[in-house]
Amino acid sequence: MALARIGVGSNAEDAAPRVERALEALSALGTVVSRSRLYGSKPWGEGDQPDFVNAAALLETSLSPRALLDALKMLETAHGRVPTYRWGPRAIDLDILAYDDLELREEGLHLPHERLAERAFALVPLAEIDPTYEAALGQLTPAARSEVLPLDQRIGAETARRRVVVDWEQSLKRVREAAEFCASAGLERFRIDEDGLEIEVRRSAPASRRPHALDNADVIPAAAPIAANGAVENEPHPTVLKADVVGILRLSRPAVTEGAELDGERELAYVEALGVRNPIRWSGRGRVASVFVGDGQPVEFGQPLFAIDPRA
Amino acid sequence: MRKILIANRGEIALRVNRAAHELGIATVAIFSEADRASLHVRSADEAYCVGPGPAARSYLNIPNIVSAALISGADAIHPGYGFLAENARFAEICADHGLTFIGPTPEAISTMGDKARAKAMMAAAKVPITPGTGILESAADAAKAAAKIGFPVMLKATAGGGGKGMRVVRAPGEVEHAYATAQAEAEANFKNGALYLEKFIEQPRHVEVQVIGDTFGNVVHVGERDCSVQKPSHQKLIEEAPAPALGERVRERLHGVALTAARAARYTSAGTLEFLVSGDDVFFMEMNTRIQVEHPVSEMLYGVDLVREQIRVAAGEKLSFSQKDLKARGHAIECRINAEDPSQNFAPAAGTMREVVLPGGYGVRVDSHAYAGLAIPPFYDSLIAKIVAWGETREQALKRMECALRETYIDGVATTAGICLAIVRDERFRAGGVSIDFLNHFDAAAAAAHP
Repeated sequence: MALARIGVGSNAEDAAPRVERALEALSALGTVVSRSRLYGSKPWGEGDQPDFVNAAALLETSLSPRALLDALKMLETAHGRVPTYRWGPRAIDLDILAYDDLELREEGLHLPHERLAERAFALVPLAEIDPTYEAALGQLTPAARSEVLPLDQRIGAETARRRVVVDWEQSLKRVREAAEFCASAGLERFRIDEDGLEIEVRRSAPASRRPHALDNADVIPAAAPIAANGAVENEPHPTVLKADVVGILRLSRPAVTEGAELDGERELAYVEALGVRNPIRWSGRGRVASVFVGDGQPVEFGQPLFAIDPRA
Repeated sequence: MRKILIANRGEIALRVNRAAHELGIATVAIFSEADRASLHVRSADEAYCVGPGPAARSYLNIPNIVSAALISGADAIHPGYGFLAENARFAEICADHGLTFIGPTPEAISTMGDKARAKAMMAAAKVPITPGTGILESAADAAKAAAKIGFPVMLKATAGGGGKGMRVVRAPGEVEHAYATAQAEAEANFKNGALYLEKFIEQPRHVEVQVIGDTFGNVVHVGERDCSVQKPSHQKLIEEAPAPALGERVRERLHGVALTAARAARYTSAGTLEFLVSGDDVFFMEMNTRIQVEHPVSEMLYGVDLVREQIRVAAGEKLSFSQKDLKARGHAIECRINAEDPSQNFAPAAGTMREVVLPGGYGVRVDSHAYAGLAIPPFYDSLIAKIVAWGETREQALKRMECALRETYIDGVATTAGICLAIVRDERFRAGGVSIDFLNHFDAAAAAAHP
C-alpha cells in the first residue's frame, strides 16, 4: 500500500459539484484517508465565480504510480465528459501530486509533480490535509497564497455547506473514531468536515523506529513532517499485515483487540484456505492499532488485516 | 447450479457473465491487482482479488481461485479460454472440491491436450490425420521418418502452441539444425522438449468445426469456421463461417469427421476440431477442449448461444437442440481488434485507451471489455474487442464489417482495426479461400497507412 497525494481541479461551470464527485470517485482506487475543502482560485477578471475549483486528497492505494495515473485518466474521462453526442472537453483534472516519497522522472509521470512547488492552487489544498507541505507553502509569496481561498470563505453562506444540530454524544464518538483512524492510517493530522461538525485530530509524535519487515507486512509510509529547518524527522509507521491468500480469516485465540500490546512472536490470525492454515504472524514489540477484519470473514489477496504500531 | 466463478478476465469474462445472468445464475469474478479497474470486476455479483498482475500468480493461481470459489459459495467454475481452460489437473481439483468444471472431463482434456495422444486416438477412430510420427527419439530418428514421409516436413513440439517449437524442414541436410532449435524452443517455452514430425502441407487452409456434446451422449456439430487469416505467429486474426469457396463434399466430410472424433472422445462440452484443408484433402490437426475466442461466428450463423449451452450441459441438462434443429443462415465474420502494432510484426502495444468508439447496428455484434481510460496491462493477451458482422450473404457480411471497422475508433494504443479493414477490402480475401500464409504476403505497412 502506498499513500498518494491527489490533486483535483475543474474550471467547468459546475466546477464545485464536479470536484466533489471526482473526490468521491477516488474511493474506487483505494481508501481516501483524507480530503481537503474546496478551494477557489481568485478570478482573473470581474465576477463572483471562481476560475478554478481545486481540492486535494490522500489516497491509500495498492495501484502502482503508472496504474494510478491510468486510473485517474479513466476517471477524468468518466467525470469530465459532457453528456452529448459529441465528446466534450475534459472538465476535470486529476493529478498525482506525490506518491509516498517516490521520485520518478518518466514519460508523462513526474513524481512529485514537477510544478507542485509553484502551484498555489495545488499546494494550498494539499497542505490543509498533509502538514508535510506546510514548509513548501511557506515558500509561496503571500500574494500567490491569497489567490487560493476556501470556497466558503470566498463566496460565503450560499455555498453548499449545511448547518445541522449536532448530537454531542455522536460528536464525541466521531472524534474517537477519527483519532483511531488517524492512528491506524499513520496520519499526522486528520480532518472531518461533515454536516456542520468539524473534527480535526492531530497526533503527537513519539520517537520510534521502523518496524520489522515481515513476510506479509507492508509499511504505510506516513507523511514525514518537515520541520521548520527543513530536516525530515522519523515518524512511527504502522505496519499493515495483509492476506496473501484467499480464504476465511480466523482470529487466533486469545483474539487480539485494538490497543493490545504485543511482545515477541505471536500468531494473530490465520487464513483458512482449502483446509490449509496460513498464519499471520507478528514478531517484536508493538501495539495493535486496528483490526480490520472479523473472525470468520472471507478475505481476498492483499486485504489489510491488522495495523500495528511497532515499538522500540 | 446457482453461482458460477468465472476464472478469467477481459471480454470472455463478460461473455460468460452475460450467459450466466441470462440463466439466472449469480457470478463471482476474480481479478489480479492489475485488473482492479476492469469491467468484468464490476459486472459480476461478487469479485475477489486473487493475486498480483503476473498471470502465474493470479489467473493461474489455482489455490486462490478454488478458495475464492469455496468462500463465495460458488458451485461451478467457468474457465473461459486460455489460462486454466485446458488444464486437466485444474478440472480435477475443481471436482475434488465439489465444484463443477464447466468444460469437458479431465480425461478428455488430457487426451486431446497432448497432440501425439490425440492423433493416435483419432487415427484409431479412422479420422484422417497428417502423415507423421510419434514422439521422436533423436535428430537421426527425425531424418529417417522424414525420408519415409517425404519432404517438406514439419517438426512440432507435442506441448506446443502459438507457433513455438515449430520448424519446416525442406531437405535432409536441414533436419539436424531444425531439430535442435525446435527442441530448445519447446524446452524453453513449455518445459517439454518432446518433438514429433509430420508432413508439411503446402498452402493449406485452416478450417475448424465447432462441436458440443452433453452427458447423455448427444453430440452435434455447429458448422465450420475458416480461420486462415493468421498472423505470422499462427494466431488467428479474422474468422468466418461458412468457410468460403469450399466444396459441399469437403464440408460434409469435415462435419462428419468432427462428429466421429467428438464421439470417440466421449465429448461432453463445447470444443473445436481443427483441420488443415488442401484441395479435397482434410487432415485433423488438433482439438481445442474449450470455448474458443471465435465462437461468436458460429453463434451468429446458427442463432444459438454456445456459452449458455455449455453451462446447461455442465449442470447436467440435455442439449437444447438436435442436429436437425441447427440451420446455418447467411454468413458471419469476426475481426479481432488487438492492441498490437501490425507494422511492428504485431508486437503488443501497451498503454491506455484514451478514446474507444465501437461499432453497432443491425447484424453487428461486439464482444469487448474496452472503455475509454482503460489501461491495457502488459501481463495478458492483447485482445480488446471482437467485432462480428452477419449478413444474408458473404458479400453483405463483408460490407457490413467494412462499415463496422470504419466506425471503430480507438485512440491511445496501436490496434489491428486498420489492417482488418484493409483485409476485408482486399480482392484476394474477398474472392474467398485464402490459405494460412495469406498474411505473410499481405503488405501490412501499406494497409496500416490507409486506414
